[in-house]
Amino acid sequence: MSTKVTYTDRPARPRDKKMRLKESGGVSAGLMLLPSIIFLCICSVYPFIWIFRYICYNYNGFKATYTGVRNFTRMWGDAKFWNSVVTTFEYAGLKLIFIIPLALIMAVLLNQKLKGSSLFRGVYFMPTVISSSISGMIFTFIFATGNGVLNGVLTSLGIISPQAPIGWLTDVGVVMAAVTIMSVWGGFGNYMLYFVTGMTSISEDVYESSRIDGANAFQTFFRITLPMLAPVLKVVLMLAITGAFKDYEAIMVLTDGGPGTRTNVMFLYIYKLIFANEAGSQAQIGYGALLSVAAAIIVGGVTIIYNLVARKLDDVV
Amino acid sequence: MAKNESRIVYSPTQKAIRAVLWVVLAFFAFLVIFPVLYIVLGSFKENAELLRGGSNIFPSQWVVKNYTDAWEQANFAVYTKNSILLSLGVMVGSLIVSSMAGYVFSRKTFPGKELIYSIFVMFMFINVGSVSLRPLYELAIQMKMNKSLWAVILFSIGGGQATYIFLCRGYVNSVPRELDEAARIDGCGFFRIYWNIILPMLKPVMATIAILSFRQGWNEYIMPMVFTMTNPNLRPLTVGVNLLKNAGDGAAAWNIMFAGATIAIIPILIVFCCFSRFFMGGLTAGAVKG
Amino acid sequence: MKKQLRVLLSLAVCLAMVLSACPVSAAGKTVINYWSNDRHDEAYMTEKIAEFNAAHDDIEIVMTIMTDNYENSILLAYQGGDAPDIVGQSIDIKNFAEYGAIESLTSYIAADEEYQLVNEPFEHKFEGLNALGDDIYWVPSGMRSGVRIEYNIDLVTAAGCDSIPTNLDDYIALATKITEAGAGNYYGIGFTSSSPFERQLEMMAQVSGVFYYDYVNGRFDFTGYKPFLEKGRQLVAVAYPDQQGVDNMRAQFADGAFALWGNASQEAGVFTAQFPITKFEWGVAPVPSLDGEIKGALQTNPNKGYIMMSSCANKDAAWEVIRFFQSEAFLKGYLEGGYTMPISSHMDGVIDKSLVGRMADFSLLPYESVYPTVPTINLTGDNYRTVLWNAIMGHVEIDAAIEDLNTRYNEAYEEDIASGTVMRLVIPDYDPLHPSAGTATYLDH
Repeated sequence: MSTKVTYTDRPARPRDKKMRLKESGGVSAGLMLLPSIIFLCICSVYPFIWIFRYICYNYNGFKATYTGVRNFTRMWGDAKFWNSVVTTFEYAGLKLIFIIPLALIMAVLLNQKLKGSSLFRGVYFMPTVISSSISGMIFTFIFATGNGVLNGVLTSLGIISPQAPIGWLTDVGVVMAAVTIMSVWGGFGNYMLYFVTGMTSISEDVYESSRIDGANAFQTFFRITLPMLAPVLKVVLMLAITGAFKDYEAIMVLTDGGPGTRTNVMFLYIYKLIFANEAGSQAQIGYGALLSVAAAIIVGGVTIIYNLVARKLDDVV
Repeated sequence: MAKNESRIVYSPTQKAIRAVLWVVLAFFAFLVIFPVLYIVLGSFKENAELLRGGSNIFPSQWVVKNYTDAWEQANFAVYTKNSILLSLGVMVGSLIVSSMAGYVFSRKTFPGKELIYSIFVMFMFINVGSVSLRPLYELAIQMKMNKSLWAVILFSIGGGQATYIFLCRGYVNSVPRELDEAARIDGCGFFRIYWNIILPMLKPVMATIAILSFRQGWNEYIMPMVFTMTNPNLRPLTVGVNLLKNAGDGAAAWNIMFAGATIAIIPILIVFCCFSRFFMGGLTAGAVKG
Repeated sequence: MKKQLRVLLSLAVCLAMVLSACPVSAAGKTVINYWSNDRHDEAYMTEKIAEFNAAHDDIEIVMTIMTDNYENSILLAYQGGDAPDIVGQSIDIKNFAEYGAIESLTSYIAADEEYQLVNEPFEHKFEGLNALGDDIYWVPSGMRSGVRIEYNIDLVTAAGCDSIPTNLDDYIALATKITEAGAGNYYGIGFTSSSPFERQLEMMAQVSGVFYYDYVNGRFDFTGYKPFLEKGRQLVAVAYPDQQGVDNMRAQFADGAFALWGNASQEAGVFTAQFPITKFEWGVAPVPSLDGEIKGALQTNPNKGYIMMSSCANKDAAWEVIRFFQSEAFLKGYLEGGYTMPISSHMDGVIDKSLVGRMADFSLLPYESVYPTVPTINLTGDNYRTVLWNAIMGHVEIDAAIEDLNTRYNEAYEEDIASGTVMRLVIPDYDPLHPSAGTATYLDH
């Protein structure tokens, strides 16, 4: 994993490194780092090692049976899993395409300091404080085909005919749109907040001088705001990518991966393997653990690629 | 606190554009708020009316009993208290842990630093999801912490810290090193520099982390559910709402679930309405200094 | 900033103090913790438990309702040394028993004649479901009927039928006719998104003698479902155009949005108390079979049993509580309240049937029975109900779906048998009309 992910890494320090080491503060630095190291070991490293114990086993929570490479061959032939990987990429792609520009546009508009901006900012951020299981529940009602409020509104506006309502959650062709709408609704306020933070650190003088130069709003945005926001944008993109790949709770409540397996993302599949909520099934912790590792590798790979691309762009600019 | 006092005079065209923008913002705000309205209004409906759906989002008659039922059946007074404690705990812990670590990672050179930091960043992306619950629960049992909210708070801090450290380190990097040097010349030690110089500069990012981690604690669901199984008095709201679901015979009381969900949403909305000004104020101040 | 930090820190300290102040319930009584995953009977249970607690100065029952992740929660609590003393029955007893987490009740039952009289535990012993060999782990207080068709009498009559057809083709014709008559205002039939296959078509297959596990040969076989998938497609084509959660569809049915709905005896309470149907008359009929002939048993589910955890510190007190829950007086009110249907002939004779309301419409059919529990396997991919429903919805081809299930289920089964995870269940003298009458044998190959 690359470490050059921060946006303001500085070039090599002017002073001799050995000199710095001898400087005071080694002990306090160690103490200050200690809590996070302990947390890291307990909450991240330990569970990760734990799951490796079971990847060669059938483990239903009661009894672990060694099965050799069976889980690996199963994964290889598990069409549902690979299908869920594709679905995850599709979902993440759709979410990112909409959520990042939307968050950016909203942040820019809020930055115009219109009347009530702070109220709007609060409203836009509101969905992100609602737990994903609850938002999934609300949207099942909103997206219902025959009696849902969304179709009702679209019908009364004359956009769709009452004879052909949109099967938001039942039509394989549009369910992804429904899931995307929900996740963009639930998440864009988050990224907007980062952009707003980033924008407030752009000095007012810069805008002032560009205004004096006669730049219009679009020019200001592309020549000043966007370049100045680039470091924030990079961080936000990375957080958004990893976030999008990890989503599953709201999808579980909204569509449960359906219709068919159309919205079955990989972490949803893994969750179901591990918690076995379907009747007549049992927890498959061993197999689920293996798939978790595979999923982690996939997400890790995406992040590495993103970082490489981001760094290439840095070199170009 | 410094405010942007720049008074700009707008031309009529600009005024018109700004009016249009305002309408766009307001319309969008309505779209965003609609699902929330839906759940709040739905929580006053009869169960059958709610489930029948339809375009009329207002209840035909207002059923306040949903709330009294939710409050009594689900012990929501206690759950609310637990949710607040849980979220505050996660927030305070995350702020302390991540600001210190971010500072060290930014300012200190030591062997293995890059390795340790890359492990942190790695686990920001490696998410084994729900699998990790089982080892954590086993661990909590061994540490005799499986019967309190402490384990949930600690594991929650641990689960979220990577992102926050990442944010902090980035922010500390942007704080000029000259400030440290000056303080060092004045005789400040490593910790004093953090406490006196860096921490005040971190306000904006601390505000962001405070919001994010408070929300993280508030919405934590599966972990507290597992850890509070045997002790209903420790349940947070998220768990309480979901326990209103019905897995046995008969239909679930969705109206009561909606009422419960509203009870779960409203306090955190109030918190954000009250504190967002404060957080944002912090952001602006930080920006001016930066 | 420093000030704010100090405030935060002191908040943290307060937190620590609040959290460490654990509530301690100090009463001289033995506390018996009972976990239930039923919410529909909460009022009755709470009332009776309060009566019990008031009448006993030695035992205190504490009920907790757990509805999410029920089985996982019990297991985790047990592993955490924090398990309740008694749990409601819907868990896989085989895993729990082999793990040593649950207690056989056989010796308690054998020593208790009154309990035997009321509950007839030895007659209602189902291998793999509530008993393993001679060990009984729970005894049902009642049962949920098999699936029935609940129908809107007004709409069915208007379509020219005075009862629900007994064969599938006529049933489809009826649904089609109603949908045509409804012209978009109402429909012939409705399906839910939650386990839709189970709620009608799987049961039609059962009574036509089609089951997914071949007990005689000890393997999975989905071939017989083919005609039901084809007919299922015809039904879906004329069905209410949306498949929502069970409760949403119930509300739609009660509102007259469609005429035919499939579910078991819990609907008696749903359509009288929760979503009372006032707009029309509703009836209950058996599910149709493929050709009108009954060739297999319809699955019923014994329920409301109580399991004692092996970690229970005071087993005699726990047994005392179970006896109370399954005493004649307790069960009389429970059954008359319509929370479940009687399973023991003793209780069937004791209760006042006039009080059970619409539950009477769901009374046992002569061909209803309990199926031997099919071994749980480590399946890769979707389960059969999902796949078969996907085939009905046209997401996959019917033949491909059946072949996929036959391959995946049997492959997983063979692998699990080979690795020792499960044993092969074979019932050489299996009779589809009396599925639990045969002799079950478990093979390790």
